[in-house]
Amino acid sequence: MTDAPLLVLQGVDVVYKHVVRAVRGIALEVKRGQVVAILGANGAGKTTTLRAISGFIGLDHARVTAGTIVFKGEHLENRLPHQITRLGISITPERDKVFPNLTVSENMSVAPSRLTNAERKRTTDMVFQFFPALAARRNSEAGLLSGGERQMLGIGAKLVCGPELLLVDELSLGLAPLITQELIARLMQIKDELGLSLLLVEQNAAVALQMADYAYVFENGEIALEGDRAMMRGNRHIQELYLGGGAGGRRNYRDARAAREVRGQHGRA
Amino acid sequence: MLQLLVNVIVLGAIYALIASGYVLIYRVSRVLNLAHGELMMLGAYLLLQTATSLAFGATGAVAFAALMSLLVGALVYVFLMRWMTGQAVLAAVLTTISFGIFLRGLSVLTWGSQHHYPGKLLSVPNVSFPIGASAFISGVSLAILAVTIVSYAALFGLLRFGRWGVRMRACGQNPLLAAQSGINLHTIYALAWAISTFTGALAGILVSLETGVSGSLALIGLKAFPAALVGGLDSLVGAMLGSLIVAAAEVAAIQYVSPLLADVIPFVILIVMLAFRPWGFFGTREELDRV
Ligand SMILES: Nc1ncnc2c1ncn2[C@@H]1O[C@H](COP(=O)(O)OP(=O)(O)OP(=O)(O)O)[C@@H](O)[C@H]1O
Ligand SMILES: [Mg+2]
Repeated sequence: MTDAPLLVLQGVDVVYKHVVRAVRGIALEVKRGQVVAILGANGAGKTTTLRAISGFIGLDHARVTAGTIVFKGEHLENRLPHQITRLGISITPERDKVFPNLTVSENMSVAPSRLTNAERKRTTDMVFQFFPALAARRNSEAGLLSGGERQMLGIGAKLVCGPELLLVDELSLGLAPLITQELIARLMQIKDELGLSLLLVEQNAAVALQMADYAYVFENGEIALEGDRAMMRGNRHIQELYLGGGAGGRRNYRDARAAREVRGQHGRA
Repeated sequence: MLQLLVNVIVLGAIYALIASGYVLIYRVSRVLNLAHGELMMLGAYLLLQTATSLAFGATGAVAFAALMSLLVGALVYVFLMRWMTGQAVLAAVLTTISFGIFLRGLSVLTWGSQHHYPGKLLSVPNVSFPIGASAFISGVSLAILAVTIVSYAALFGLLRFGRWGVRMRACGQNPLLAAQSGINLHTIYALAWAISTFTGALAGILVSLETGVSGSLALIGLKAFPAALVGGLDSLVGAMLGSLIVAAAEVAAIQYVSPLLADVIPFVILIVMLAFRPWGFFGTREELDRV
């Protein structure tokens, strides 16, 4: 079964604090070596879905209440984050992606790794080579880094864990277009070098579609639309809603309603 | 005068050894362990129990009781505090208070309310060494001083350079990110509880060698809490300085005002501190300086 997907979500519901249902019936998959993007408006449930995969801790007060999350044949629902990391999934979260009071090198070495010491050293060197800005600031505290450098460190520190699937929440958030482009280029090189699969959450659909082989559009906690790159690019409504091709505001509730009509027309892939 | 200085340093060392436990648990899990005084007392009772029922020498008995305390600390986390992970911090603090009361009751039931002298049972010699012309320091006090210095050096080294120490700091800063980095939070918290109970118990054990053990030993543990807070609860340097400040104030009050003030002074300092600088002398600097 070499062509079985790496990660499969089926009918996943996540409930916060026993009452708030943030996502419902999420079904998605990531194949080996694939880059998959999740798009959607604020509050659509993108982060919740990534967190359901990477694991909640008690402080989150969140639970997967229905559905299955299967990674390489192992069920992940409601497992603890460190167990999931051990299986080969790492996440670079949306906020607070580095330990501000640890130095850059401490951030790179704090996590237990699935790699051997030699592989780990090689990966660390590779990260510093791909992100020279980090190498230059090895001994300074992560709290003093710029947004872009934090993102690099947030990603680099997780690569050292030796994941097979890396989840990145909002790669481009708050970064200048030039930095974003550089990050994308580096990340794609690293992905090829390490044979990683990526699952990205993006607000910026242009960024997502530049990287992704396949994309899912979330809306109000459900998947409204999905398709490969060509389909996403070709879809007039996606163009209007998420790529800024249309007139007026994007990502508001009316647009989300329009997207639901899109789903009506196209079916669910 | 020299004797006063020696007294301040010895008392400061006792407080510092205890305070490091408050700081460690607070730093790693943001929980105030208000059962620390009782756990320290339990260490002394464990020494008493070892002395009465096992045929170790003095050194062996001290080491055995201290190692048992390490285990006790881990068990307290596994069987009690673990269920508080993810609850409000207040709930966790209240749990430690209740647990402390439980430990007091348990120790009265087990060892009675009278004063015991494990030092005598173990025939620890009551020696003292002259310092200069007019001052003396007891052998036990010297041991306390040495243990405090070694403990602080070890804790600094661990937190600064040790793999597990860096993980502890990471958990204190952002438990979610730590867990997502593959760190098992329960292991780290259990480790913090074990080490903290170990150093606290060492303090209790050593103090009991000289002054004996009864329920009132827990009060010394509680008096170290202002010392930890004065320095800033998440700073070891702060805990050390806070301990010296509280010890100096206490010794001065005993000498120049009234011995009755001894148990009051630390809490007066605590209240003053809470009013003017609740994060302590080093609490904020800590954010920038690490360790
Ligand atoms: N800890 C929480 N407790 C309760 N509700 C939550 C919590 N976290 C998220 N939610 C709710 O779940 C829904 C989905 O939130 P989520 O963070 O997954 O959205 P998102 O798509 O990542 O949005 P954004 O683009 O703004 O990051 C929102 O309605 C949000 O209010
Ligand atoms: Mg989000």
